[in-house]
This record gives sequence, structure tokens and C-alpha cells, in this order.
Amino acid sequence: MLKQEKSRFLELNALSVLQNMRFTTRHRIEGSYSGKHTSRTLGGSGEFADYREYTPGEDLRRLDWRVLGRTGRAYVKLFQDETNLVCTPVIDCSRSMLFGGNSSASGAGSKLDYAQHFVTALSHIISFGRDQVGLALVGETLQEYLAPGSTADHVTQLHNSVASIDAQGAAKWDVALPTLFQRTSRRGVMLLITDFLCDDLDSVFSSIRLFRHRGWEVVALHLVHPDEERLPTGSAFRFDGMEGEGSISCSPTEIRQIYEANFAKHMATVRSLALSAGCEYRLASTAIPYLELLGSFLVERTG
Amino acid sequence: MNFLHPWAIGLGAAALLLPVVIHFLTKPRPQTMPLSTIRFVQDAVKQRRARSWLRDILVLVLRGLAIGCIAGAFAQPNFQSEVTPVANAAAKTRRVVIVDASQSMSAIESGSDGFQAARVQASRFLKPATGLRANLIVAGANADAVFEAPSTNLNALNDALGKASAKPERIDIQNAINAASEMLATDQEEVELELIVVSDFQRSNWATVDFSPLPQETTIKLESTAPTETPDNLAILSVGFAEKPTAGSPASLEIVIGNFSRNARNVRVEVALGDSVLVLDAACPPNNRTTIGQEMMVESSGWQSGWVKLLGNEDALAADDAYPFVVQTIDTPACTIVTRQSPNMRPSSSYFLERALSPWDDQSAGQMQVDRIPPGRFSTDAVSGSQLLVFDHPGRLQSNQIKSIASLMRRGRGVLYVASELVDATNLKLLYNELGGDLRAPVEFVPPPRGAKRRSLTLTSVKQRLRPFNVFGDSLSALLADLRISGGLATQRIANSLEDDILATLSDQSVWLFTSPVGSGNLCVLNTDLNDSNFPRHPAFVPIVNELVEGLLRSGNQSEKTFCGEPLTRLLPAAITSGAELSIVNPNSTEDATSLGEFKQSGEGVIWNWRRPSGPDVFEIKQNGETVYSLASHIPAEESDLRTLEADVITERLSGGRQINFHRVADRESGNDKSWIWLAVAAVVALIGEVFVLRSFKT
Repeated sequence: MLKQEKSRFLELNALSVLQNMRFTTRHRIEGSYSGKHTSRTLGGSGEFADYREYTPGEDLRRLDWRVLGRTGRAYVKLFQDETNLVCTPVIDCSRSMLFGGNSSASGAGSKLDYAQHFVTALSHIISFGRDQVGLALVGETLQEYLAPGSTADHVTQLHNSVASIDAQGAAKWDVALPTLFQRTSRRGVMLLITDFLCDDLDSVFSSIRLFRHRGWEVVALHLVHPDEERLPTGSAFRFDGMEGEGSISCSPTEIRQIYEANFAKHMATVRSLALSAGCEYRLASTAIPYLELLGSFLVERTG
Repeated sequence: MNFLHPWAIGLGAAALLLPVVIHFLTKPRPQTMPLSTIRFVQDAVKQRRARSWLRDILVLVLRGLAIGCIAGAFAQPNFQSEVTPVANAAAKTRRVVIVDASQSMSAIESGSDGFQAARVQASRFLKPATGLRANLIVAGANADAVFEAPSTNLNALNDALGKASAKPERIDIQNAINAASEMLATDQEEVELELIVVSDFQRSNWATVDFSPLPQETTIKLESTAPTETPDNLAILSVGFAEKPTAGSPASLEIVIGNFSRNARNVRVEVALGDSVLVLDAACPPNNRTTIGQEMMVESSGWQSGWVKLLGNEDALAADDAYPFVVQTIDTPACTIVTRQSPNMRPSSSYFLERALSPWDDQSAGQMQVDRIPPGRFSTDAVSGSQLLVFDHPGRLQSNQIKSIASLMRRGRGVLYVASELVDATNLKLLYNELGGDLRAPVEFVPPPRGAKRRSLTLTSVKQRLRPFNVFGDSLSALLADLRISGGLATQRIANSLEDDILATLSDQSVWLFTSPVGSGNLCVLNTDLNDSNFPRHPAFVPIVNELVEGLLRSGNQSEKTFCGEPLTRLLPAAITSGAELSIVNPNSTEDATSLGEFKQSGEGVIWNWRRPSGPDVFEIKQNGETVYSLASHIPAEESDLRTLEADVITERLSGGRQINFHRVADRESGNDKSWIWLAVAAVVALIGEVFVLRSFKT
């Protein structure tokens, strides 16, 4: 029996303004049920799409007899199936996602907190549109995977899973994504929410390419905290790595320029790799309210 | 190479740790912060590390170099090679090192004072060596030897040398050489005797040195720390009132300033006496002494002390820029006439004198108080309250009375002796004998030749510009033309006496009037019989007597000087009859009273004995909380003249035929061993280089 408690990340009042918007995709998708999204398949019960010359051996039921009678030429009527959308948010559960939290206990204000709010809200909107939404949590392994679903219980379970994320260690994308790939059979939209602070970006995008090859639409949401873009002011700091990288003492003043250049280079690399892998890349600063980001995201997608 | 200030090297070595200590002390405490992007920080630090390492190394090297150079500059290295005499290891050596600790040794030239150089130089002769027995004499006014005889305990000698310092004294070099000669005297054979003298060989102290007391086989080495050129010095040499001041009346203060330099100097002098402070300006010609006169009013009577200071004076010797002085002011003077004549006998010579001294019957303000006593009652106690003693027809004085008169004169009393009878010649002869060397009278009095009548003599020679005749100005000749002197005694000139003391002579070539200083007092003899002369009835009588009395009261050797370090034996004023309730106080410090000397009762009065007066300063003797005597100790004026003897003068003219090795301390001799300046420049360059490096590596 699932707990029916509302997730602390679900802000229904705030989401009311976005409730009429839908999360759509520009690509044809493959769903389990009929829905409002264009299916990859051209079925016979959908909306008329086009004519095509008959090829011997085709199903005669699709032959347009009227055209054959009037013109003597055999044409087949094509119909576009509409199906439901399947979206799987993949959340980075590494400790680096905890950066920016007001306190280590609650993690409020951190990148992970931002991702939790965002995914909870998005899943609510997707399920409200009768589409299916799943969830994958990536840590040192694929920590949790919820297959797509649209029922209220499913969404509640998903919200609970999001709310109970425990960030540990570093994210092993090269392990987790292939595992996820093996556990998914249908195509859909994968929303990758991460800070891309990992050792080997190439292996991350190699894994993403598996999904792209299968026809997944991959949206890379690159989360950046403002305090990551520039170092704090002060004469001396001892920085502790959040994923066991050790500590280092230095004067931020002395390395500020090099740091900012390195960070900008990192972001440019992520963007470049994402685009080259066929992903939709979106840079998201936690300084922007997640509802604003979600709104613009949905507006763009609604087209 | 050696160092003038070796302690600076140790200090510099310690200071080399300073940059490291400063680095750690000023290192900010890092603020801990978890960071997700630490990999970028690590990359940035890695990139910066090589650059920072180079910067830190350069800064550390330059900073260390700067500190090292500063320490070296303070240490004042001497790169000149010099020969340090070392005792022959095979032979036994007795060595006495005399270090001049007089005030002139503290003169600063080119940033170093002579005593520091002397200490370094002397320490070379006190290095341990086989067979060496040595002793050290720190010579000032006294020859302070560390041991009674040369010793092998050279460590103690070096310790004593390290603690020695220049004193505000002049050196009695002959005393030191005599002490050294006693230490070097030995019966042993095959012992090398060495006398080392480290001094500036100041001309005033060394001009009469005699090396003859030393054993003949003594090797004499003189090490001069004097600079090649005599440093400029300006000093206050003497301060005093021309005459004893009277309370409430202006008196002339005379300040003697010595300019021992090649250039004329404008000086500003501050005079502080009691609550009064004056600032005077004067121009001092080069190599000369300048006397500044200034009228000063001393409001209250009694002993007063003050200081004279040169303001804004920068010269080689700072110690002689301040000079303490004391002065005693009197309120209403008192006089005692010692005479056999009855007070009721009128006219009489004593009556004339009494009326001249105290013209009015009532005791008007400022009028002298005059007492008469017969010679039989005369004693020190009977006249202790009188500043002036007048003897007229005293008859034959007893020997103890003569002694009392001499004692009182030495302690500042003025004596007017009217010589009219034959017995006065005897009295004066006895007084001369009693005073001995303290009195340099120009004449002695003898009975007139038989048959010679001293009647109606006229004044033939008068010191018109001196007291008491200067008050008459140009009318003196006309005024004294009808003056006729009778009576008195014949006089005989004393060989080598001062003719200037004779103020007037008579037509028979005898002296009518003379004054002569005695100790702190004065003796004035008027050679006449006032009864037989028309002098008492002459208009000049009262003015001349009053001028004489004024001179006797206000003159006298006030500036009987006490020099630091030189034994003091001072007969205290006659008013002090016992040393029981006396205490010595230094108002400017908390110096222990027991170190300020002791009192001794003698037949003449109370004597203040002080073996080694300190100072320069003012010292007061208190009796029942009241100051009854004051004394100022001074640096001898000759210490301010920093001219030194040339080497050939010592080695040829003063050597007495002995072989004397004269050597100048290398750095001061050459005068161009300015390596410390280059070290200072290097330190500045290193500091500029550090700033340049920091700016170059600035991100």
C-alpha cells in the first residue's frame, strides 16, 4: 500500500498556472497507449496523413477503393497514429549535487533540491496530461528505476522516490546508463538532470549515444549553482572535495581567473558533447526559480 | 674581517627567521568550504604553483638578503686587514691593556662612537693565548683595574670590557700608566711586558704624558680610535653669574660656549633657573669660545639650581650640550666690624666705616645690617651670619682667629682689612701663611722704614676702569686730586704675583688698595689710617667703601667646579656646624644617598667628601628639609675639544726615548671603509627588488 502523502517538493498552488501546458516532443514517439502525441507508427485508425502508391502484398484493407474506382490507380491511405508520451527523468544523485545547500541536513537550495523540485513538478504535469513518466536515480550505480506509468499511485511513488533521494559518492554514468538502457524497451524522452561534474565526460555521452541510437530523445539539463561559477571572496580558503577528492588550501584571489576559465571551458565542453551526441542541451542556473525554468521549458516544447 | 658591533650579526641571524615567523603569524586561517568543483581549483592551483614557487623563492631570498645586509650594516664590518699582535706562544707575556673611558671617547663619527671601536680593539689583545697574563684598566679620572695584578682569567677581563662604557670624566692617563707600571713590574726573567693603550689620544689629556715609570723593556703599543679628521663639536663650557646675585636684583649670567669646529655656528641656548626659562641666540665663531651674557632676575634667596642646554645641536658629543649650575642668592647682607675701638668713640675709623656701611640709623629695606664685636669675641660661630667681615684696628689676632678668618674666606666670606697699625702687618702675614696657596696677594705689608713718614700721600695710580673707581667715570681724577692719605704700612711686591689685583698705589709707591680672591671668598686690604687721612671726610669715601663692599659680597669664586669622577672635598658654609642632620639629595634622580659621599667634621667645619662624584647633575644638601648647600658636577671642558695628538708627537716628543708603536684602528684610520654604506644600499636594493617581484607576479 503506497503512502498517499503529498511530496514536500510538490507545490500544487504554484503549479496551477502550468497545469494546462503539456510536455510534448517534436519527434514522433513510441507509446503504449493512444494519446495525444504523434506516434512513430502509421496505423489505420488515426488521423489521415497521406497517400502512397500500392505495392503488391500490402494489406488490401488500406487500399483506397474510391480512388481506384475513379482513376484506376491503386493507392494506399496512410493514417498517423497518436500515442502517449513516455518521459524518464534521470537524476544525478552524486554528492556534488548537494552543493549550495543551506545546511547539510536538509540540502535546501542545493542543486539536488532544485532537481527534486523540478522533477516532481514535471512529473505532475506529465501525468496530468495522461502521459507516462518514469524515474531513474543515478549514483555509483543505477540506484533506482521506476518504469514509466501514469497512474496516481505511480506518480505518488515517483514523488516519494524523488523526495527520498540520498546523495552518496560520485555518479558512475558509464555503469548506470547502460544498466538503464538494458532495463528500458520503449523509446521515449530521457531528461538528464545533472551537473556533469564527473571525471570522464566522454563515457557519459557514449552511454547517452546508446539511447539516441535507439531513438530516444535526450534532453540534457545542466545544473549550475552560482557559487560554482565564481569562487568566494576571501584571502584563504580550504576547499573540501564533495566526492572524496580531498582538500586543498589556497587563496581564491590568486586562482580566480584560472578557475573561472577552467569552469567556462568545462561548460563549453559539456555543451559541445551534448549537441554532438544529438541531445537537446539546456543550461540551468539554480539562481533561476525552477518554476520559471519549467515554464520556459514547457512553452518551448509546446511550440 | 671583523665587526665593530658583532652583536648585530647575532641579531641579524635571528632576524633571518623573521620573514618565516611573519609568514606564519600573518598567515590567514583558512575558511573551510565544501566545493563541488574542486577539480577546477586543483587544476588552477597546479597551474599557479610553479609561478608562485618562483615568486616565493625570490621574495624569500630578497627579504633574507635585505635583513642580512641591514644586520651587516649595523655590525659595521671592517674588511681591512690589520695586524693583531699576538703573544709569542713560546714566551710568557704580561700585558696590561688601558682603555680610555673618558667622555671624549663617546664622540660619534660616521655613525660609530669611539668607545665601541676601542672595545673591539682592546678585545683583540685579550684573546686567550698560551703564557699570557693580562689585566685591563678602564681609565677615566680613576684607573679602574679589573685585577690587582695580571691574570690568566681573560674571560673576566672580556666581561669587564663588555660592561665598560665611556664616563663623563677626563682621563688621568698618567695615573693609569703608573698603575700599569706597577702591574708590569716583575722579577721574573724571559717575560715579555706589553702595555696596550686604546684611546683617542686627545690633545688636552695626553700632552704631558710620561712613560718613564714603565719598566724599560716594556713594549708600548698605542691604538688610536680617533678619526682622521677632528669631528665638529659644540659645547657649553661654563655657566655662572659674574657676581653673586642678590634676591630681587638682576644679575649677569655668563655662558661660555666652545665651538670646536671649522665653521661658525649659530646656536640657540635654553637657560632654566628655578621657574624661569630663557632662550638665547648667539653666533659662535669657529675654533673659539664665545661668552653670552644675559641679565637674569633671581626672585628668591637661597640656593637655586638650573640647566643650560644647547637646542637643536647635532654634533659629535651630545653629553656636553647640557650644563648644570647652582647659585646662592642673598637677601639682606650682614656685616661684622671687628675692632678694638669703642662704639662710643667718635670720630674713629671704625665709626667712619660703620656709617659708610649703614648710613641710616633705622634699618631701611636693603640696608646692610652692621654689627661690631671686639676682637676677643671673634670666632667662627660669632660671625656665622655675616657675609662680610671688616677688620679695623683689631690689634693682635690669635692664631685660631687667623685660622677662622682663613676658613671663612675659603667658604665665601669677604674680608675688608683696614691696615693702619704695625700689628696689622703681623696679622696679615699670619693670614697669608694660613691661606697658603689659596691666596695670591700682590704685596705683603711691612712696617714703614724708620724715619719715613706716611703723611699726606696722594694717589698716583688708580685702576680707573675697575671697581671701586669705575663708578666715578671721567671725573675720577678731579675727585681724587685733593685726597690725602696718611698712616698705613709700607708694602713689598711679592714675586710672580698678579699686578692686576692692585687697584691703587700711593705716591710713595706703596699699595693703597688691593683685592685678591681666596677660595670662594675675597680679601681686600685698604692701607690707610682713616683717622689721620681726609678720606673719611672726602666725598669719595662712602661710594668707594660701598663699591668695595659690593664687590666683596658679590664677587668670589662661585664657580668652584666639581668634575665628575674626581674626588670632591668641600668645606661647607659656616652656617652648617654639624653633619648630623644633613642629607644629600639628587633632585633629578633617585640615586642612593650613600653613594653621594659622606660628611666629616673637622676643625674648620663640616667637610663633604665624595670619592667619585657622579653627574653631570645637581646635588643638594638638606638640613631639616631646607637646602643649605648646592653643588653641580660637570664634565671637564677639555673633553669637548676633540683634537688629538699626531702620531709623531707621541712617538717622538712624548716617548722619552722609548720605542712606541702607534697604530690607528683600521676603519677609523682609513676613513673610507664604508662597506656598511654599501650594505645599507644593498638592503634597499633588495627591498626594492622584492616590491618589483611582488608587482611582477601580481595576478
